[in-house]
Amino acid sequence: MEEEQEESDIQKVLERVRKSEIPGEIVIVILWGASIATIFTNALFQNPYPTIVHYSLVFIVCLIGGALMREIGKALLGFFGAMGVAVTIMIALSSSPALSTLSPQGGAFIQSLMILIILRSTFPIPFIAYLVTSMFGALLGDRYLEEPIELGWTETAKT
Amino acid sequence: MRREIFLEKKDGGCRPQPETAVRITQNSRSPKVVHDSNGQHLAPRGVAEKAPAPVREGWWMTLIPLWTWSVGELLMRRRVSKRTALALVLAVITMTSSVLAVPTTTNYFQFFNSLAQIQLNITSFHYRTITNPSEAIANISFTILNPTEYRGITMQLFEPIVIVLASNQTVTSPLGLSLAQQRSPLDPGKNVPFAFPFNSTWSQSWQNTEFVFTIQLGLSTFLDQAASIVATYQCVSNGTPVACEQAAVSIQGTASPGGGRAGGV
Repeated sequence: MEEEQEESDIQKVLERVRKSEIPGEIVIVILWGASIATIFTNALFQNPYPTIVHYSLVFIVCLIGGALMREIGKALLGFFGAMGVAVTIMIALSSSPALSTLSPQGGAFIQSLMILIILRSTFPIPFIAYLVTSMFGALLGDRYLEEPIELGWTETAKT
Repeated sequence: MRREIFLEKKDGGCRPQPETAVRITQNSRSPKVVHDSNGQHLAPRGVAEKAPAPVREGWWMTLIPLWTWSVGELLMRRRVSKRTALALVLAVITMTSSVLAVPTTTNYFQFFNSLAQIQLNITSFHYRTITNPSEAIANISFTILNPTEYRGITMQLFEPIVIVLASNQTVTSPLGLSLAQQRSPLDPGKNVPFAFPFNSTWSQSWQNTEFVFTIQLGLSTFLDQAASIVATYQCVSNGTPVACEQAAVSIQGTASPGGGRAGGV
């Protein structure tokens, strides 16, 4: 009897999670941050400052990310989350070779330089611009995108 | 009863085939036209109703990533909400930019490896006294070698300083040699030579003479817009060719994206 009750509770929780938008939004924030990181990584590891093309691509990504969040508040949180993910990925990637190959001193020098480059490339003007873009995207999403995100689209075939 | 059918060939001719061959034909992606012995077109109904044989796709089918298959399937259904479609666009952008970032990230990792492995060697060391016993002329040849596969490092400055140790003490103060500002790409496996003639005081009474070179290599890299990288080497020679040791890698000055260098790191 208790086991049945427990199973029923689990099913209720799972059903609530399935119907909730939060898992989908978490996925969006991760994708959003990862795409910003990879676009900037593409630039910083060879230039070392992003070009107008890279900034434009991130602009588009922020517009899409904001639109997918659909609400100003969620877009704001999503943007901060995505930038956190992006900066973490970039710093981790730029620091990892410095820890192994060069002398500790040389590695630390270049690591600090890369962190400086990353911060200069993303703060403050691009950061503010992308924040505004995300808000604008949220307004567009609120206006044009009403449907929920279908996380289970691979499981159920529509006819 | 054995029935023979004819499969149309590309050149228009027909050849008899056993009935079992029809099933294979019907299961292929582009079934060929089937005729009977009188040249009449045969409807594939009876054959098509038989159990289909397993489809043998190309080997590359197994290599298609799962997400590509899923996205394709989803788009084929055309019943995706705008929001889901936009989320898929974001996923595709992420995947594409991730794939494109792989070579640049690999290159960046190789850059560090290459920077640590650049070799500086003294390949020849000759000196002769000219005003016995007080002065000598030395000719020293260096080579710089990039043993890795990385391309993108250029030597732009070669700045040696030398002190002479003899009889267990410094007998000459640090002597700056001629500064070489020459852009030489450090291509993989290519020795870049540098020769430096210089004059020095010299005494025949010196014992256990050692020449200690401190050489700073100014390197041009992809980080030039932000800072210059300087690799410092130390070479200790008693008048014979030696391999130098990398003492440090440092950064000289940083610049803002707009230009103008400012401060150090």
